[in-house]
Amino acid sequence: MKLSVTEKKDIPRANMAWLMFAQSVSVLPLFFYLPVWIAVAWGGALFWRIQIHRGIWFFPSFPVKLALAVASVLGIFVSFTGQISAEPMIAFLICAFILKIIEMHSKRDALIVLFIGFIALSTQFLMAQDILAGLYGFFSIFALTSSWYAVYCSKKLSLLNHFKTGGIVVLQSAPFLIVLFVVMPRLGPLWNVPIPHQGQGRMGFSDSLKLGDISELVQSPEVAFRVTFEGRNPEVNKLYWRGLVLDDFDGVRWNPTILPSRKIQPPPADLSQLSQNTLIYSVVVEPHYYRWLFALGKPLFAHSGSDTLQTNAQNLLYSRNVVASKTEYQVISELRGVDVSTPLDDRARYLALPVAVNPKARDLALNWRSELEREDQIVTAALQYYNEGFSYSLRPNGATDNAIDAFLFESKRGFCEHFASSFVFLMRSAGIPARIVLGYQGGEYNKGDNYFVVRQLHAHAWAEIWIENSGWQVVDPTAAVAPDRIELGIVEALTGEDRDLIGSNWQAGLLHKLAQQWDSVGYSWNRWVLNYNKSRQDGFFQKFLGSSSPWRVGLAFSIFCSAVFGLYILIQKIKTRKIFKYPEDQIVLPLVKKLSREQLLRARHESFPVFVRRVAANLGQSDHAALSRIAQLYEAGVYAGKSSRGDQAQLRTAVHSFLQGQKKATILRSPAR
Amino acid sequence: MTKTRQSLFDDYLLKWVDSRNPKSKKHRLYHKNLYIFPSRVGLAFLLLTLIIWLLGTNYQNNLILALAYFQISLMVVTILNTYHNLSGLSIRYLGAEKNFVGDLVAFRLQFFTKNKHGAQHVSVGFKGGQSDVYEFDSAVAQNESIPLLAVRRGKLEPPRLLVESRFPMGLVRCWTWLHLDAETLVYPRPISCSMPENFGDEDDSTGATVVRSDSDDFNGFKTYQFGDAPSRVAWKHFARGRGLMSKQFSQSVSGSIILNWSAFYRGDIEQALSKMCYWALQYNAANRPFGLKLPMMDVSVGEGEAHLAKVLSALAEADMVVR
Repeated sequence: MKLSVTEKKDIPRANMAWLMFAQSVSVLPLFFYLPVWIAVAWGGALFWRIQIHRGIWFFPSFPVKLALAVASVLGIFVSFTGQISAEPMIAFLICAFILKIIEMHSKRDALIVLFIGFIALSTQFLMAQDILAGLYGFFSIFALTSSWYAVYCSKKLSLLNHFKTGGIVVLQSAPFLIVLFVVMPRLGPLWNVPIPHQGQGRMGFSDSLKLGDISELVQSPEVAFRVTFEGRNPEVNKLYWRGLVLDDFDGVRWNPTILPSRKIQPPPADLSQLSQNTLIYSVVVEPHYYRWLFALGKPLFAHSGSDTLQTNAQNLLYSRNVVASKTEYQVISELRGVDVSTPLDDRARYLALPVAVNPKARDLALNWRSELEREDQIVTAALQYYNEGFSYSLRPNGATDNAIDAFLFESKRGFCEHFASSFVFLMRSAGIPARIVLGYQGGEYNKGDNYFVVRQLHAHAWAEIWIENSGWQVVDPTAAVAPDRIELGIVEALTGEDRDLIGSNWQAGLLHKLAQQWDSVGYSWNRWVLNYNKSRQDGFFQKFLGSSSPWRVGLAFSIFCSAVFGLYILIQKIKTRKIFKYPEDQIVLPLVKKLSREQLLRARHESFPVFVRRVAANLGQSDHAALSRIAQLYEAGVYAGKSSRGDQAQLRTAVHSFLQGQKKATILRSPAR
Repeated sequence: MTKTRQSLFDDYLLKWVDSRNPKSKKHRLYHKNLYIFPSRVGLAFLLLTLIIWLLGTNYQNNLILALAYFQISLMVVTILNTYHNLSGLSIRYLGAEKNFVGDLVAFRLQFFTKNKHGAQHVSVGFKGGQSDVYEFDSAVAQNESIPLLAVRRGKLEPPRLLVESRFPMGLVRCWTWLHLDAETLVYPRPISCSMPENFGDEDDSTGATVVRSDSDDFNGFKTYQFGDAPSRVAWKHFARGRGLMSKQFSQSVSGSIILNWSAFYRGDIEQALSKMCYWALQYNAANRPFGLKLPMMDVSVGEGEAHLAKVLSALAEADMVVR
């Protein structure tokens, strides 16, 4: 059938809907991140195209198209004033995508729409990368591919056929995709790019602390990061994830001091040199749009495939850029960092306090100082003080001017930040260098995949004090009041009403189990898909190929590809294999092939026996007899009713022995010609 | 200069193509005669893939990278699928009609494929000629006429038949050049003219029989053209001051005529043959017997379609050397 010019050039009318479907699928999730008017424009464009399809409205003329384009550019300008990030660019792209569909009618238009669809799909991944986003992305790929097929298919495709053809193509691509994903080298970022979402949606604690900040935080079960330990898991109560050190108190807020940071070394290849006191672990941190990372104790080595890591004099871990996507890093930490050799050079900073705030607390501390000799006695006295009459609560009284005095002498109810900040205040007043550490404590163990989930509700504040000849020591005053907080976790440490605040029963029952299962799936997704980076790739090659040298990887890759291709050819061979009506035809096939190699071809009108007899007529005595017998057996099998297995075996041996006899001498090349 | 280099390259290429797939009346498309390469859309798609890969690399986003790798896989799979669409298609040359220079000659081809989905979106056309898009259903022999513009008189061997498909994604172009063992004749383009004056004169050295109609009827006047015989000029007319005119005669129905080369030849071979072709068609239309006399070949007087074909073939194949 010859196609007309329209059939050749235009999108088949019957399959137009599929393109609209594919566009909608690939653009829908982006509307969560874009201004509402773009979604409205999309609806309008789609409606317009449908009306054109129905023959009610017309394609837009050039001035109309221009006006629409100008309007969208203006709209983007107004919606994203002054913002330099990925969103305006995405919005621009999506607007083009939406407007294109109105004028889409030729195959070329369809290809443009599909191409933009692929870019829209990649921006979906820019915005969200969890497993649901992954699944939805897969579905979008599927929709795009099947619509692509529909563009060139001039027949109307049924729903089933449509998805079948698209699905087959996606499935065919899958093995190669997986291999490429595993094998292709991973490069670092080639240049700096604007990050979507910057300045909003920051997660976790902020970079300063006021009393009451953390209690808001712990009401969220959102995941902060996940950790896997190499070897034995440490006890939960030892897990103090340091994030930020606050050492500058202005009377209301505790602020960090920005210290110069230096690049931290990646873990050495030979781990056996490390002392017993180290922990090796890898962390997948959720994007929180700050630079700090979380580590235990003193990080000795750290490495991330996606960014350069840094550390500073306070033994904190930073990434060079803000953490805008799920990032994985490996750390080797020393748990009890005994820095006896290095004296505290900025002692004054850790003793500084604003004058005339919290006078009562200051008096209390000075009292201890004069009564007690040693520093550890002062610490014990302070912890003793907390132990008497203090309670742990998510709903402390509102902060006043002298919040620490109010907490220490009036309400005596507070949360970890109250304990930590008042403790550090007391220590500094007593002349002991002290600082607040902000981070997370503990973690929720997932048995299935052997990892810890650290959630926002694990957010914690504690103190570190400087003891001469021992260095910085962790002191957690909260533990003195509510040991359960450290031993069992926040939910157990709280009572009744407080528990309701952080989503009461969320840790109980089947639902929690399911949630844990789901988290476990998500964690594997993070580790193996989202954070499959250079080091993980090297590890994979080491494990399965013995080394990650390019030669070896290249060879494995080529072997795999040729194997797949070989399999493909084999399947094609089997598929196109001739199917014979009679088994006898299959049996004599080698003979026919042999004869054809000798240029003895069966004529169109000849049956097999006639052909063989014709060949035999020109041969010597024994060959003649053998071929005649084959012809006879063939005739008996095919023409004389149903043949038995025995008859077929006879024919097979006859053919076989004849061919064996011919192997040496190729005199078949008919002597009498 | 570049033109010749291009044609040299083409020659070399076609030689190579022919060595893989020699001239034949029947061709079956398979891996040995099918060629495949990304189309322009495919190259654009690869560029898009590169952009998405850069996006994924710069944002260190594995899902975007996976999308880029999917696109590459899609390309690879499409190569196989496009190949599959065409492979197994067999093309048999059935015949061709004969036609005049400047007209389209239709070559009748039979297409057949056993592929489950048939062969879709196949563009077929002679190299340099017009091509159309066809769809071939599975296991149905389908006859199609592929047109080719006849530009030169004589034997016409069609150039390579270009069979091409970009189905299903348009990303790769799979094609073949088939050397069809096909041939047809192209007749001279008929050019209308008046019957030459010295037509039938016995000035031919071969002394061939000339059947001269003895009952020429005066048919009217026409304006004098340079070359008209002086004996035919209407001098009386001229004397009256009505301009120079020639008298025209028409042959009576009963007379048969031999179209003589020497009467038509005025220095341009093709022109002469075209005019003879015109008159042959005229006589045939009038159902009058006529013959043909060419320097190397004669066709005796006769009539009917078979006779016309014989005459036209003789004109088509006339091999003249200007002496």
